[in-house]
Amino acid sequence: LNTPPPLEGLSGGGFLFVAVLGLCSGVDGRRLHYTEASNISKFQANCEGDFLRLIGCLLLLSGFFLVLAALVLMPSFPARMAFVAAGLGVEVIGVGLLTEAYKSETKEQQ
Amino acid sequence: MNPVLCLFCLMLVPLAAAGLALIHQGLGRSRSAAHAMLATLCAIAIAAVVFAMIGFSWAGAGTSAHSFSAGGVRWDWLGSAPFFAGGIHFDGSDAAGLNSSLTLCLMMFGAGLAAMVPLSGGTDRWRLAPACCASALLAGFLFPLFAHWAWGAGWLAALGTTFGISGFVDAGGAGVIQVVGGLMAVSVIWIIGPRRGKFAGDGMPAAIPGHNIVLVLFGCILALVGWIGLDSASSILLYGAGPQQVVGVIVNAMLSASGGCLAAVAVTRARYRKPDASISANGWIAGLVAGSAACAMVTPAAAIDTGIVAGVLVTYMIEIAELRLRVDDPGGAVSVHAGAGIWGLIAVGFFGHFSDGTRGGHMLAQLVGVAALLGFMLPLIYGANLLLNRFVPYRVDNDGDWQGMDIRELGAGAYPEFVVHADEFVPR
Repeated sequence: LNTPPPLEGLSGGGFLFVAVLGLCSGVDGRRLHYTEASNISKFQANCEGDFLRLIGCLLLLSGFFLVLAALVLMPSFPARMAFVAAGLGVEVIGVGLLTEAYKSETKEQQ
Repeated sequence: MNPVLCLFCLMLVPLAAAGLALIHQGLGRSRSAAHAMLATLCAIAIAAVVFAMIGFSWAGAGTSAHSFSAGGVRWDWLGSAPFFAGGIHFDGSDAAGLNSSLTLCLMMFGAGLAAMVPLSGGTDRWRLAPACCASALLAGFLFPLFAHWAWGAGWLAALGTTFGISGFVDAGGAGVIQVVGGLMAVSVIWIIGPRRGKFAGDGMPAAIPGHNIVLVLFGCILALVGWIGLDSASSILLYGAGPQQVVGVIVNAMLSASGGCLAAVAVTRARYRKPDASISANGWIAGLVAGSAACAMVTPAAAIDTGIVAGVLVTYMIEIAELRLRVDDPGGAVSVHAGAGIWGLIAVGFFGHFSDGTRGGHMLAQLVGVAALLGFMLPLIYGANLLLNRFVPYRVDNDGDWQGMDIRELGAGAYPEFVVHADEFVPR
């Protein structure tokens, strides 16, 4: 009897944002219908975490392929070294995003 | 190759597992000690079975392999030896079979060690069943994949012939065993989160000290013996080291461990006024991990330098992981195995002595190896664990978290007559 209406507390834009993130990162969309108003912020944090996690993993892969491309395409040693270093830099950013995703989820759980 | 010497070294490797097991359970809470030891045994057992059945085929050291061509280059990415170790004859009928069987033995122990590392990060909250499933995943696919790249004539090992730089070098398994295990540990920690009560609402971590530091320090000595065996056996089998170079491996392992431990003692003494025993133990293991990458290819002075940097690095990484990144890693698996392992791989480029290639070429090859670990293996390992977590939830429930894994999962504590957990009686 006290069940809140679905998606109470989320505006239309917020719903769209959460739904797109959910679709992108594999979040089960059915969770939306049963989300209580008090858990909306936790749910949003989870979605933001999923989004950061997805981007982090993509950055890690991008950095790796940048390194491989440098090996294949760059003929000279300095250019290869520079691009390998750049690829590692991209990977470090990816690891940073994964860490942020974990931190945001942990903070919300506590 | 000297098979007798190699066999003797291989027989020492299980002592590394014993040492790591003691360290892991000593750094955890007493209410989960039996669970930690049983999980270690199960992880080693499952890793051995799965690796012998499936993993060794894909690790495919020196045999045929799956490959593809891209950018005018042939990329050898996965071994394709027969499953169930079918290509190996243990009856002595095949002269080349001796090398293959010794390699199987080395890699099987290596898979077991790699499977143990994440248990340390998930202490006190990672359930036994998913830990076993994750060990199978690691030993069956993730470990063999990188083992093939680095040890099995895969694309990383063949960088020298393919791109004219130098091949990726990982003589003692700093990358193949330790970093892969460490990346598995960070993935597990990211999935299961911290122990209940570890972090306050404002993010400040509470100290949860290990329950038996004597076992931790004894484990360090056992690990040294095992590491000497591991480094020596892999140097003999994979890099053709002779008896004299094996002596160098032993000296370097001892020196890098010493450097790591003393650096950690000095840093903790300088920062906290008293040396910290658990961080110093982590410094010892970090020295061993970092030194194993180039164990046969550096001078003793370089081994000490490698160990010192690893010891300092680990001290700060443990603090940053806990204070800034909210990573609850009771055994320091991420800092010790992943962090020090990556430093060890890079140190090969700085300090290694090689008969061929330039120092820049070797550094480039090592950086490519590190990039492969972070850029490909980490998302693969993390994704595989996320998927597995959906089918077999990793984390124990709230009651189990407070009660301890021994009572929750095994039904009996490790020290039933001596330990009373006061907070078991606190209403919640």
